[in-house]
Amino acid sequence: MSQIISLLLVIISVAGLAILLTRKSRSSRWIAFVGTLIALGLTVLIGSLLDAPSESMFSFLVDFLMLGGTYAILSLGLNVQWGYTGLFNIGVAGFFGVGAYVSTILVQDPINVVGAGNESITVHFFNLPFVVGLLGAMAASGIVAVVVGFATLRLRSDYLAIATIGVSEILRLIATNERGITIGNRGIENIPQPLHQCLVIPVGANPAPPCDLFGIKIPQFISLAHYDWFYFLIVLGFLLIAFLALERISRSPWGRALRAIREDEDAALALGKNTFRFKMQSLIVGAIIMGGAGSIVAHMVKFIDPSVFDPLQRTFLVWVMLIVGGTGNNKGAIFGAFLMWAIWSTTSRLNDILPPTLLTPLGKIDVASQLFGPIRIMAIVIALEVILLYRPRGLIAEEKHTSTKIDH
Amino acid sequence: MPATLLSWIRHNREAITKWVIWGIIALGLIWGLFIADNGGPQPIVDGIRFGSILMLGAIGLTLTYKILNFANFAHGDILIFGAYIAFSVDGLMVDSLPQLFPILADPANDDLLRLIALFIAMISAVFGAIGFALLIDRILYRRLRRSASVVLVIASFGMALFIRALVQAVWGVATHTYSVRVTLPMYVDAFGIFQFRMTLLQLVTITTAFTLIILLHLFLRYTRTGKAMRAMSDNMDLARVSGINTEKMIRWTWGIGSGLAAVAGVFAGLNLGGLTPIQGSDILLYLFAAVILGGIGSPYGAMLGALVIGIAQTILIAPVTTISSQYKPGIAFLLLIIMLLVRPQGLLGSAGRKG
Repeated sequence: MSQIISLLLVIISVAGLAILLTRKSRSSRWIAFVGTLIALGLTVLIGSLLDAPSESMFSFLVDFLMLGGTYAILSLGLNVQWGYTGLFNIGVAGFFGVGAYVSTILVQDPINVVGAGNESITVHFFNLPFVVGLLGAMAASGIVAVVVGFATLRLRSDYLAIATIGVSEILRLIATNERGITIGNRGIENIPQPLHQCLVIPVGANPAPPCDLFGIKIPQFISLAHYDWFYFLIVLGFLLIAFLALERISRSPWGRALRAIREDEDAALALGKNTFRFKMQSLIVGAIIMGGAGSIVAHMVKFIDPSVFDPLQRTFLVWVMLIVGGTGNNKGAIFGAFLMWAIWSTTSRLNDILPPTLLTPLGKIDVASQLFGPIRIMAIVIALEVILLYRPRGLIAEEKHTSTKIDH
Repeated sequence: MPATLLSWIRHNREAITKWVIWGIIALGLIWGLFIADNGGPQPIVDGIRFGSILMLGAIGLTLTYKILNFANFAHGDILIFGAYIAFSVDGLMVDSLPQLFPILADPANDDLLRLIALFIAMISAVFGAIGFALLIDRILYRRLRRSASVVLVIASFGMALFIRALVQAVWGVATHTYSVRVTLPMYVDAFGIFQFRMTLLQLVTITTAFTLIILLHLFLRYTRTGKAMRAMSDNMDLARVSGINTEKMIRWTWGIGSGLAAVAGVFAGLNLGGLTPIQGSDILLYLFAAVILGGIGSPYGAMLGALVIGIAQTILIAPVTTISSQYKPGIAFLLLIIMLLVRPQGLLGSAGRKG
């Protein structure tokens, strides 16, 4: 049953996307948009009434919103770099992964480390609060951006692309090989979550002592299953702060200077703008947001390994989200992230419906393990190329930003 | 005196950096040959082998950059796609050739059979890769010809993932190897003191690569098409006004680049211990490092850069055993970043390539 519902979800999302992409008039696109949302909501509602208990349906919803929210943060970060300034960063995974690793190393308790494999490794973790981890992740990601920016921002835009993809690859190599810092391919498990001991009622007979927060004793009051709701608030808070801040600065002189550089760098230079400095600032701001997303994801899934540097999930998907949603528009970046995440995450359930193996004249093909993943990637690439060819502005086109000082 | 010296340095900064870089390369070679504990000619020969594979791959990348004006991120995956085609044809030939020519069914001729199969496979890989690249160009890049170059780069980045997924869907993720036996040893002792081992495979790799490069040089230098291609890379509009069929030249560019890439892919599969779908993205970083080191857009620069990258990483890794050999791509990338900082136009590039 749940497979059929997820199939319906995919069909509705794709159909809605197709209608949104093809209709030109504003009112029909609004109708298509609202119609798609209602259809999606009804499908979820019917699904929850039919078989799944409402509790699990809600937890599915929270999971979806949390992961989609982190993608929305990444997409916002990329929007600063690509959408505003035209900086071509295809190492999003690198900035994201640096954030995840730095935050984990800062926050993880030293006790939690289990001897990895046969060899004994001493790994130093710092056991600091989550906030320090988050800030450290953002700072580390910003420093990586400074290094990349100094090498490439004075040159043609393609050099930045090559350097960012290289940095991402090197960081993955470091995460794999420096076992003394990152435990290598085994990954770091049981990453502590913020305020977990203070909020969650411990499971077990003996009551745990109330949590001591800045000298005030608070008893724990939420059950383990509801902790995700609290974490969702953190994701939402970060997303909102990033969104509001970016909306504000995109209307400031700084934001206008960035767009001027994107449209015509020589003209901006001729008008006396230090384009290198503006580009550097934009790269750093975007990288800081991506690093924050890395930290948030690490503490959400409580496990990281070198696959956080996966260029498909963490770079390409984010690019598709931004381009589908609307380059240069923060609302579009968020909308595209949730939309593409809905399609990407629900299609993974289609694997349950398809036959596991397929008999062809050429021989038996293992659909589940060999064909399904690649075909999903190919479909999303084709979607990207079609959008690049036929609707390069995305679903929500960029708004016109002018200074309030100018008379219209 | 210091003032005149300073102003002399300021005026000749370009030339000085260039000669400093050449000096560092020469010092590195001397260090690797004579001074390093674990050094000697062996790492350099291994480096030349890897460098000659990179060289074949880097030519296509630099040509598309110069003539089509974008960094083609799908080039590494075209290379590996060609190698996989060769793998399939190789298997087919080993099965079917003995039935066509009974003399090859004789177990004594087994090695010959495998070599012939590999040769046919390589030829078909070249044509397969060229056809595939032309198809992609026809469907996708041609429609984006008038777009900004970054749009083309995004499109090619997507294409890279598409080809990788296609390879994975058709051939699976397991490591594949060619049927030819790569362990035919052939020892070459040279220069008395400088003793190094070289297998037949290494020798074939290096000589094939250099032969193809010389042929390419002759083609670019003396044929009408080659001259037209060079004219196009200098100035596209001027070339069009003087009657050069630019679309045809673009097809030639894809053909040469992808054909050489397919040969590089087959040699990569032979030399680097088998084929996996992610090899394309691994090798792409080396290719970019080689192209930038030599000067982006210059075919001869790409050859030089590939050799420097290939030798540098064996020279630096083999003697210093504390560095994990996993960091080999890291060295290539470090060279790339240093080069971008001190001399972004590369070893052979001319100044003022900012744009």
